[in-house]
Amino acid sequence: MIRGRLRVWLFIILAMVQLTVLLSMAWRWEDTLQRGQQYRFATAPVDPYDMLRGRYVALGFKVNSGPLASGAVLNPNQTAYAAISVGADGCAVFSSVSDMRPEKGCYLIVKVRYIKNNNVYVSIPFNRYYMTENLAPAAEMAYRKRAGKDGVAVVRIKDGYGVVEQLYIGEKTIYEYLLNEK
Amino acid sequence: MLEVLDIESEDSNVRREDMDNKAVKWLYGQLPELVEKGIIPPNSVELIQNYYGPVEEKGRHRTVLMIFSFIGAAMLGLGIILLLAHNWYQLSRLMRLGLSVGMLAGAQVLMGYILWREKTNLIWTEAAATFLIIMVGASMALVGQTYHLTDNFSTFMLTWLIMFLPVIYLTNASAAAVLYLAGVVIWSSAGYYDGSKQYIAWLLLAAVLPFYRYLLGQGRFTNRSVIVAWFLSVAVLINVGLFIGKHDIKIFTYSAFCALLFVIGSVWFDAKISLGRKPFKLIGLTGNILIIFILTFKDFWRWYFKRSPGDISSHEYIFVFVLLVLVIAIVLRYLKEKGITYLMFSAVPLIVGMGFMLQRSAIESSYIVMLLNLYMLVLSVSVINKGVKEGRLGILNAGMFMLALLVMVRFFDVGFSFVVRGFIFIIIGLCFLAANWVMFRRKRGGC
Repeated sequence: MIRGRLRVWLFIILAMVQLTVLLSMAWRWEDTLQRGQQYRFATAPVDPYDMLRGRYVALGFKVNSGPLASGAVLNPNQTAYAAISVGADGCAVFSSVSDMRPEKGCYLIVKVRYIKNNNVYVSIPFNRYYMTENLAPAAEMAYRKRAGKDGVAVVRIKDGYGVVEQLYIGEKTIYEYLLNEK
Repeated sequence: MLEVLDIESEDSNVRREDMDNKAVKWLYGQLPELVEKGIIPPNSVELIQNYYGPVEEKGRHRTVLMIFSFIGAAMLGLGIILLLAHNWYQLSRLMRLGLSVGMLAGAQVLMGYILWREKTNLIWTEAAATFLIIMVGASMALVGQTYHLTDNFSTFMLTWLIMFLPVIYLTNASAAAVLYLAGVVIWSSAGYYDGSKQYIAWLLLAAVLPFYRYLLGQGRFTNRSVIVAWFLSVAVLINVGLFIGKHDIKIFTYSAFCALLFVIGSVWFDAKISLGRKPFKLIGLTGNILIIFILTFKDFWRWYFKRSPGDISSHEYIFVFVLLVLVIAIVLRYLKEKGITYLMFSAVPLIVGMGFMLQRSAIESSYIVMLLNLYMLVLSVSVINKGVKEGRLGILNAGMFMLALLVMVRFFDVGFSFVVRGFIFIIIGLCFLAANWVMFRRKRGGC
């Protein structure tokens, strides 16, 4: 096996690579949060426990489908591109779902679940909101009561990637709502 | 004396690793008496001691220290993950990011320092490598948590594995290899095992083989080699099960793979040491005995073939074919040296395959079950015979246990009365006692 100073230098290179991978992961999402376009997604309720990554509230959304784009060919489990526009209620809707990246406008990279009556049902990539461990169960309960009514997730989207910025119940953030409820 | 200890002709460092330290210590203890009685000349003492080298008094302590340092580093790393999983809302996003990068950088600095100081104790290297690996995963997890990411578990694990694979080769830490193999199994088992995942799993397993080869160069039966061999065998066995999806040939493939492990263990990893330090042989033997034992039940054949047989894909056929070719080639090459018991256990896939083919030919399942029971009986007797010939009580008892288990299970299968079963059990028990007493007397007489 490798010995001596060569080993140390190779390890330094490996350490740089590991840090670069980590920072590039963070950079993409941080960039999306800083410069992405903001959309409101009306929520529908769905508190599983991920031991490795803490406690989170599982999110479901009312918008889960969009019309198949003209000329597009899609199959289940395929990656697709959902063009986003704002509905009458101020919440995001998918104006079309295509197999090609749209040339203009905001879009989200999604996965096709199934297609029915020319409507493409998709999995949305952001479906978790991590919270302080002791608040997550209460948040999940609150969400069950209010999601589908006035629960909203504010999401930043850029270049097809979306990051949940904040959860709202009515006009209050989830934390403000829980504090008030206490 | 050397013939009694059955040492192969290699350099003394390798011999030292292959032999139990206790045996050398015993030998050194005998030397004064042998010199006094004129059995060996006085100058032979120094020659023998130079040949085997010094006895490692602290060998066992070092192993214990290594295990505890591994556990300590793992607990420390996992404790940090759990603390972070509490999701410190008080910290801003950038602070959390800084924390995750800082944690990883800290673990890297520690590892780098240990590598820089080349003469560092292996225990510290193993502990630091373990800590680094866990910190790689923890920092990735914290970034995911900070940005509420929904990366699927499979992607997370694969990235983690690729990130820490080079750590194994740069640190030569067996703990890193063990964690890696466990990680590959977890990744393979998570989600659907299809498409490119099947082949990537094999590539990931193969990636650790050069490191295992390096460990073998230091000694086939050192603690590090043995531990990695255990994890490697189990990881490959689990992957074999995932790779062969179709039930029809799954058991047959398992038996072929266990036979391969057995022949590899018997040919290249055989020495007069405990079976626990020979994982290939132990897993191969246990696996195939279990398979044959399961196939001796009539209900198995009824249940197994009620399921509709799926189409077996070409890659599954090729895989099984390659396994069989390897087994046959190694068996034939070393048959003369290894003897009849070696052949009996290597032939398990042949018997299993014969059973499945007979079933497909619509032969009555009772005949197939009889064939397999007969084979299990022959195996047991062959093991008993080997134990008696070689004067090894452990092997004799293992053979008798196999036979007793077969007989007892058959008696629960069929409708014999309590009286008959009682008599048979008494006879088996008396046979056990008699065989052990005879062996014991023989050993005492031999001394």
